[in-house]
Amino acid sequence: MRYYETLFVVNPNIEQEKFMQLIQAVKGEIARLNGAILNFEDWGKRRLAYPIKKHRYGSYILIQLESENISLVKELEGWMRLNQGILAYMTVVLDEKPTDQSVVASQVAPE
Amino acid sequence: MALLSKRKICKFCENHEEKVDYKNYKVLRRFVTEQGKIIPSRITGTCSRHQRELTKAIKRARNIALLPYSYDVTQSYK
Repeated sequence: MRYYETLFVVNPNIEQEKFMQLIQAVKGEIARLNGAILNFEDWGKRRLAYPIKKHRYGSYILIQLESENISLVKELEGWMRLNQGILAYMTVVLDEKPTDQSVVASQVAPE
Repeated sequence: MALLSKRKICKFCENHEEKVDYKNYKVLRRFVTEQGKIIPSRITGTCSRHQRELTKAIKRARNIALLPYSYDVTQSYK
């Protein structure tokens, strides 16, 4: 079993409803690729260190997941690249199974 | 003796609780210059192992816009 962590930035100007739909779509895509979500965190809207596609702010979402599917990352990132609402994404491999402690609470609380 | 006491100790070796993580950009920010460049370990005193981890973490943080790639200090901000 491999553990991954995907951090992606969603366009902050889309409506709440569209945002929820997007989150559902991401979750659906992970499920379709035989991935299981271990942790899901919404960091909320925060200022980007540099503008992406003319946006100065973005909503950060962190998902930690596990899967046996070796092509999951490639397919998930390919899907995210085509999604208009997602400004940026990054997936990293985790060395060990993540614990459920919140990153937001411990490290990146909004300023 | 005075020289010895000046020796810097690696922050991450000193405190094992603190892991080098790209998401923890507030800590990473202490290891980059005002311009956004990574500060060499000979200045910060970070050990080589943790400096390697730091470099990777900073580059990851830049990729996802948690840290800037560069910062124009000649331009006023905020």
